Amino acid sequence: MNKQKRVTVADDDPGILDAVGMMLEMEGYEVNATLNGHSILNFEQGLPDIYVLDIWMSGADGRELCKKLKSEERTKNIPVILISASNDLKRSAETAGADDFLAKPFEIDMLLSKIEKALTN
Amino acid sequence: MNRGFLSKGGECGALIRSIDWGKNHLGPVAHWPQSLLTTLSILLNSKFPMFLYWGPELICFYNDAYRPSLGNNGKHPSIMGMRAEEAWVEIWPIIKPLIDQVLAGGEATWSEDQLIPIFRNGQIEDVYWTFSYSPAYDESGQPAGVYVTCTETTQKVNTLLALNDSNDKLEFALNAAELGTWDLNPLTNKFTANNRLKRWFGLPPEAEMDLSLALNSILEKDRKRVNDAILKALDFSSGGNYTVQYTIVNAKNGKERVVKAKGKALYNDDHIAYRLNGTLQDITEEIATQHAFKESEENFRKLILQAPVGMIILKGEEFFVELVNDAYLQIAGKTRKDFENKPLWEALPESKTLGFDHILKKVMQTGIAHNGNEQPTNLIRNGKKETVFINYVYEPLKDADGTINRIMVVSVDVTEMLESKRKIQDAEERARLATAASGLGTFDLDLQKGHMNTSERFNEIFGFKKQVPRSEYVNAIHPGDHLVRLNAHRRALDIGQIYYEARVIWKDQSQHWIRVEGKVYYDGDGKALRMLGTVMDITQQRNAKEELIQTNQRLAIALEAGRLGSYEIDLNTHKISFSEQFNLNYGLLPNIQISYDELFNFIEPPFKNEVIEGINSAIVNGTVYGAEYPIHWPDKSIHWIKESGKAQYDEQGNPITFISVSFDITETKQLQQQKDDFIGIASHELKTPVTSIKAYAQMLEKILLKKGDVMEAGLMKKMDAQLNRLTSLIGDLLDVTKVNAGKLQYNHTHFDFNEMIHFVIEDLQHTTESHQIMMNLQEVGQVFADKERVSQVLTNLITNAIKYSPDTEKIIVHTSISGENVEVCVEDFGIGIAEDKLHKVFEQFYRVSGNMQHTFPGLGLGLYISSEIIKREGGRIWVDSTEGKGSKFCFSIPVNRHHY
Repeated sequence: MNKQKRVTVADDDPGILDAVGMMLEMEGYEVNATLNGHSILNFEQGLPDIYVLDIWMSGADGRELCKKLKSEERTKNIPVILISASNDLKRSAETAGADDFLAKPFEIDMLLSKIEKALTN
Repeated sequence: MNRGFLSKGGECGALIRSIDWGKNHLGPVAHWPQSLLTTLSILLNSKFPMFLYWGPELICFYNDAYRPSLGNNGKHPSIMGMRAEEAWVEIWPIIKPLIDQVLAGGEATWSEDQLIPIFRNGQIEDVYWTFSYSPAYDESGQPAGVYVTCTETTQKVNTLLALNDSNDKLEFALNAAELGTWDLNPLTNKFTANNRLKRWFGLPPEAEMDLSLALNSILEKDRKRVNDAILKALDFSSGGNYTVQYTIVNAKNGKERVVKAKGKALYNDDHIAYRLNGTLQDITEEIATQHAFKESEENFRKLILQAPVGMIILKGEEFFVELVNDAYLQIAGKTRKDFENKPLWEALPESKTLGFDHILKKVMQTGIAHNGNEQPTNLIRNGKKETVFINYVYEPLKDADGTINRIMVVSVDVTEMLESKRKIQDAEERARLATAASGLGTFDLDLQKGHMNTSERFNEIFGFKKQVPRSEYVNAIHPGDHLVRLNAHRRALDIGQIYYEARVIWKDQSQHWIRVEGKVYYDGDGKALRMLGTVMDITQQRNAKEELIQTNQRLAIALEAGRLGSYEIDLNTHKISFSEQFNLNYGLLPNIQISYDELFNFIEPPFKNEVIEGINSAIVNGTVYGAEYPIHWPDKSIHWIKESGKAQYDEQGNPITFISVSFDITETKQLQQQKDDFIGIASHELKTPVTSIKAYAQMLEKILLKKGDVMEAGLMKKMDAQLNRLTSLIGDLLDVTKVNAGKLQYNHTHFDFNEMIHFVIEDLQHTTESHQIMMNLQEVGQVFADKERVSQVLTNLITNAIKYSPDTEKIIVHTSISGENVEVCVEDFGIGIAEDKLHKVFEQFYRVSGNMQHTFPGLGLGLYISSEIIKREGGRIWVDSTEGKGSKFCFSIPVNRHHY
């Protein structure tokens, strides 16, 4: 196995955060899970290899976070996958510069393959 | 001062004394000149009628002798002392010149029996005078007045006039006799005649005559006859009477006169005639009259012979046929030979016994005509016995001497006329029955006499059991409608037709509406004679009309109560009228009018075209239009309107008006919005826990698989499938909310259509082991559409196919190009859909119910959402199905949807 990839997951629902975090760790990713979307802009602990962000979070909008990441020199090349319970947000996700979009509820395998694909690119 | 001259003078003297001369032009008597006093003294004491005009003013004086000429109630006593011009106003123009002449120093005048009408005895009378005007001189010897002596000669003149008058009358009588007188001396042949006779002969009154000259004046053809008559009269044995008629010629002017000579011869003792004298009467005109009479008699005969009606002249007590015309012979069915110069009853023996003989005799005796109408008469015509109907007149004819010796019979065969009349009566009867059947009453009004005949139905409509006097029908009309009736009648006389509707009040006080229609009939001079027409009971029609009005009122109330605004557009003029409520719904003041175009400007821009297109399409297709759309009020607030409308068409099918009702559904919309928001949030929130459950389940499945617990892993997989169903239900709920709110988002891209089909089928094939999804795909290529939504529809159709064909395996997906559309069909061989339910399957919440063995869970939203998506894609969706055999759901969408 190569060097362990780091995934930052942000979702305001603890259940999803728990399940997804557990899942990714099982798959061998190093997971940085947070309920507070804005905390991902704090780069003190270093940068992840990929971001998985919910769009509608209390206090934060995944698309706004994505735009910020894509506008920062340090983070603009890090892939961002946006997830949402609303299927209709796919387009606005793309507009915000996201590399991929996934509608809730999703198949775990789908998430894993999208992460892998994003990391490969 | 001596006024003794006035103390005498009789009545007129007294009258002069009584006058207050101080007020007269002459002044008080004390100042009168001696000449006047002297003259007056003579005048007043004279027994001869006298009159005086004195002084510049010509003041009048007269004496007692003159007084009678002034009559009673005339100028006496008022003209005493009056100015002449005032006193003799009526004859002033006659006497003024005479007075002037005398005063100018001329000679005295003398007029005899002169007519000078004066006012007396209360009137203007013709009065004749013989009078003289002479000057009366004053002290200086100048004429100061006119002295009139006169006598009235009226009576004398009148006597003379009466005498002249009677002379004239005598002359007139002599002339009027118009007789010539003549006297012949047979011994000398000397012939004397009066002036008239000589004038007739064209001779001067002084001319001497003899017999030959007289005979030469006679027309040559008559001369011998006259001569013979004279000779005969001169013969004593003849008795001497001489009467002869002949024509004489005026030698001067050639004028002919027919004359009748009458005379008597006188004989001497030797029976020799010594004198024949007598008169000659001009009978030219009499003869001409006789000729004219003969001629008219002849014309009368000709007329009878040529008359188109049967005529026969009977003469004498035996009624000899003097004249009969062909028309009569034809009626009688006889020949001329049968009739001519025979007694009537010899020619018509079959009619003698019918009483005509008696009637004819009576006419002859009394001279009073008799007529008979429609007399049935049996005749033998053309060898057949027939009954004919005859109208006849027996007219007594007076001969020239006034006696009645002949009867003219005029007879007309009215058999055919009667037949026609009967036919007309039949037709009238049929018309009567027809009008009765149609419920029409009829009337026949005599416009001259005011009588009116009415049919039974007419009486019935007016509430009467039998015909009543016309005034009662008129009185039955509702007081409020009397003027209507009156005006209609007045108008009818002008235009020849009558039409009106009015109320009639029956005796039982019930009210009935009637409609009267009719026509006026005129005689040859254009005088209105009759009015014929019908009356109809239109109570029910009227009530229906009133009910309609009430219904309209109720409708208006309902619209108001329901806050339903309405408008009506005249499609030709685009004129638009609104109800008050409409204005309220649009936030407008009640009396504000807006145009058709302005109306659409209220609609929020994204909806505007849709509304216009919807209305136009409803007008073109004759369908009911319905829409919901937001409008902005003038105060900028947004209100939702629900509207439905329909066009009205004329007989040719051209749209005339578009009528629409609308009402404010803002509140409903807000509630709906709240509901949609709630469902939106709820389904979103539901997804969150489902997402984590799903993640846990999948993780658990992976863990179990790793451990080799295959069965447990299988359970987890089933649980995951159920979670997918839950997800799908939540998704449908969310979609339907969006569809209803018009918020379903579309994302149009170009994509390979068959590739999308492959992808969907592959995905779904994983979820089923019971069914085999087969593909029958034609080359479609790139399509411009919302890939996700079209996939969603296909997924839904295939999912349904699987669901409703539990006992069969095969499902076939077809694609094909049809014109500019791509068509997709999903065919299954399952339970199918009953024909009567086919049209319902695309409705919201509709669920196909199976038989006892099969119940199919679901919200009944899938096909509804699919059909909404396809509609929004500009395509259509449909189904063919046979119950028990399977269904084939299809949709088609444009290959290249126009960007909009």
